Amino acid sequence: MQTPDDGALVAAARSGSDHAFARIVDRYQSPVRGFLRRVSGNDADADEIAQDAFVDAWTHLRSLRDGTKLKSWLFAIAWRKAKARARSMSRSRTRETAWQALQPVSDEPQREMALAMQQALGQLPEEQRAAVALCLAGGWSHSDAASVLDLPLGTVKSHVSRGRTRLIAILGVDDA
Amino acid sequence: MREHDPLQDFFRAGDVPARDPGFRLAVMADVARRRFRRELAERLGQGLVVCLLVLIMAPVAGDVLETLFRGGESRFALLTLPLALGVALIGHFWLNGRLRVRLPNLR
Repeated sequence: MQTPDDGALVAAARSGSDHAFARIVDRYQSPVRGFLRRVSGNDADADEIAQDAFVDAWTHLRSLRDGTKLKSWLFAIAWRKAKARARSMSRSRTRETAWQALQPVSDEPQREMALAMQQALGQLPEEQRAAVALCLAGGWSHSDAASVLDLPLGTVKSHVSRGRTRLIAILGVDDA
Repeated sequence: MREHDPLQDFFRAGDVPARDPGFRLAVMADVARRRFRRELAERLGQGLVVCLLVLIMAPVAGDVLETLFRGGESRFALLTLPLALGVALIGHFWLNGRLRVRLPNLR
């Protein structure tokens, strides 16, 4: 069975198919939530923002002129929501991060690595973290990331390069 | 050329599962709630418009009905009532487009 592309799914969802929209959610929930988890540093917050972003996407689906740009459009909504949430929740997040730091480190190596990365990302400025999350973790090109984050290309390149250097230093890994 | 980026292992460790039916269900439930609220607001607005129209038209309609029913001309009355009912039903379908609130269609 042929998998419908983004354009076809957007067209079907626009004409009222919830099934099509559910497929869009299935297709992009993992990358969007992954990006938001890296940006926000809190899994529960990130999932809440992601849910909100998808519902907003459903509401404004008609404003998406080119269905093939669905991915960037979804990430841009998610990024705007994450920034707004960061502004409103900065105080409570600081408390929660402090609380998380007191939790015993899990025995599971994968979880330990994920936590280490989350804490390392938490030390980067917000935009640098987002650029790193898109380009290094998500494999986005610098220009696509610049369009999602609404930043100049040069700024994104510099964020990625500096962010990478900093993460390597914080995590204490060898740069191959 | 870089063969293996050590940061990738750390990034992959924090990846979200590719499939999460629970998350999809939560999103679709929110979508259904938002749609319900939107349709409710639309219908309330339409109802308000209809009420306003009825209020505006009431004096004129009263005069027309009085003329029709005067002098025991029941033939006009018999025709007018189903006609008014028909107009009301057509107006209802025209305003609403359908009879009931649409539930999520996941087929």
